[in-house]
Amino acid sequence: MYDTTDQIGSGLLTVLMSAVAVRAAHEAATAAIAEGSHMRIGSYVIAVLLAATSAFAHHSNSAFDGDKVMVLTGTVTEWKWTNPHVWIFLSVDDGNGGKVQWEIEGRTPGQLVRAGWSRTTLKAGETITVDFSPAKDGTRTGLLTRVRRADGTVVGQQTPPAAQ
Amino acid sequence: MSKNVTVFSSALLCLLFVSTSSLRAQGTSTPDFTGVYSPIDPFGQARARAAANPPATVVPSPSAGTGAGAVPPPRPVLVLDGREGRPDNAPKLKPEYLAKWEVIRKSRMAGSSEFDPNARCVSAGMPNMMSMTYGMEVQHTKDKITMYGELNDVYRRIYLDGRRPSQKVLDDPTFAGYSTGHWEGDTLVVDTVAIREDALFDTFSPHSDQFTVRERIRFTSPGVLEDRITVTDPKALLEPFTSVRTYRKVSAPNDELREFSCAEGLASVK
Repeated sequence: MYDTTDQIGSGLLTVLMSAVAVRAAHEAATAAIAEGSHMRIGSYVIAVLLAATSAFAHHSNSAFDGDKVMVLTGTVTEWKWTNPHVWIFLSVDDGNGGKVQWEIEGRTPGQLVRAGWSRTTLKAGETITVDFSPAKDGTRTGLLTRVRRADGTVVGQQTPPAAQ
Repeated sequence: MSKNVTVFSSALLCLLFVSTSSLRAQGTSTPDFTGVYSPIDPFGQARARAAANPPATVVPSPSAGTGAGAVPPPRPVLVLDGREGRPDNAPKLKPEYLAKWEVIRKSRMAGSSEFDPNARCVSAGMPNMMSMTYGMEVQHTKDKITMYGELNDVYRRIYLDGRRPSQKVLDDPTFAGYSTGHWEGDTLVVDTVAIREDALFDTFSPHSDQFTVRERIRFTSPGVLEDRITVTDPKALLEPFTSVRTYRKVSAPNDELREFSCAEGLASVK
């Protein structure tokens, strides 16, 4: 009735990664999230670097943990205005003096157009803050909830009610 | 006086135009469903369940940005992965099919998209494709209705010319199945058969090859279309299951579906 509708999904992600490395990454990520420690997050980053190349694929929203929201600020390295979902590639400080790339999956361009977005809404080099639900498998990817620009402007995702 | 007559005549002409356009499909009192529609609250039930859950936990992250923490996070995007269990109002499956559903549920909870047709860019099939989450366009002629959905660029046809599914059709199930319709007053009654077994229906429920769908489609008020959907499956279901979807007709500039071309995302290999 409702649950095969706003999906974002596919098993392609796991194909990119070895099962052992994924488990190591996931365990490290879980520990990092539980403790919120930069040192643990650092080990998580290393584990993920060993495991993953790119998370850029197509996902079901069942791939994400809707009970959690992460907030990250970073620099847009790439903005993909693609079907079935848009993608924000974000370069983020790892808390250890380095950078890591996060790949955040958004909604479909058709819905975002109706919510006021366009293919020029974001630009590479721009600093933004994103809210998202993280992937269950611990890779550096997530399901986008909200984008805020450096000046605090919210780029919402809500579609206005249909005109009568 | 002549001005009044002109105004009156214009009003009459307008009225005539409206009536003829809404009735032209059949030339009788049956309505014309042609138009572009937006679903009315397609996630209503799911949202209600999600609202009952505790709010999301904000995960500490290494780079939350200056002052970002001062802004409360919005509710997360609704993630339905089966952890909520099987709702009381879900279709009543027989044990064999309930066991199949449990396998599907565990796969989804683990984060897999194996059983999510939309994630694989294939049609959700009947009747789930009638969620029409991103909008629906209906073309209605005397002999045929074609419905297009933006989500996954799906479409289905409902034949109104009296034809019946041939054996060839019955032997070749598809996601949308094969639909024929007839009128009962202002209600279009549609029967759909030959639906693929792997096209899951409500709450990712599996069904058998004996799965059939009957819809009763009508305007409940001007511009509000209702589709009352009853599915029957003597092998998989303890009893028929009925759900109702509603759609609101939209007008310019919101009456254009956008291309979806889902495979673009699948072809992301560089």
